[in-house]
Amino acid sequence: MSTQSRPRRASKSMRLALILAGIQLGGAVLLSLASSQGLIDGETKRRTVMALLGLCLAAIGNRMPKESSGPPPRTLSLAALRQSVLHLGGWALTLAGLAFAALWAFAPYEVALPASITVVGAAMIVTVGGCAWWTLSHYRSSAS
Amino acid sequence: MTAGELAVQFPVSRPTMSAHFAVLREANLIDSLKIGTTITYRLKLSVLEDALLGFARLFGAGAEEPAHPTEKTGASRILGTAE
Repeated sequence: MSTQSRPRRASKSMRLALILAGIQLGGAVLLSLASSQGLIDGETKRRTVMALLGLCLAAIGNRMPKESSGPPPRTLSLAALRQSVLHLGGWALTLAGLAFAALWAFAPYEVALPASITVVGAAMIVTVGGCAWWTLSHYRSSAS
Repeated sequence: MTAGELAVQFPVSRPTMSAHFAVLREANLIDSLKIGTTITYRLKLSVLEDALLGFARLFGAGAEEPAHPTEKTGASRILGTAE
């Protein structure tokens, strides 16, 4: 049904991805310049880059439930399954991204490094686990 | 929820509803899925929009709770179906 606006949405998604990449690269360059000028120290530069990375992750997660790439689902239950997975993944990635940014902004380095990796890993596990669980439940209920 | 049931909720005709759905679809706020002769509309919310809606509901502002509790789950974020 929405095939007419699909290219426009794809272009919008691509624009968002390019903006996020620009923020990452531009931010890293600016911070490197500031560091080389002695305005900030290496620790601040590293923390700010990582916090930016977390915010970009949150931005990607925020958009995730609105994305609908791939062929349209054949049944209503498959459409619901896809939406559930995107919804869970979006929330998990957004919260993980925000936690990642907050950890790198405020936590001590020895805590921020393992905790940020754990948070993002947990979000991935939750998303993949939810996807597997719902898919299995869907096919079990379809079979019976 | 069929288009007829949706139309009952609003004082507009079905073609008008259809035009509104087209605008909402263009704004990427809803999506539609055609299966056979049935068109199913679903709400598309970003995480931030979803969270804001949750807060609005929590503090009693904005939309009321859905009539059917199952409509709150991801599997049932379906606006309605039209035949």
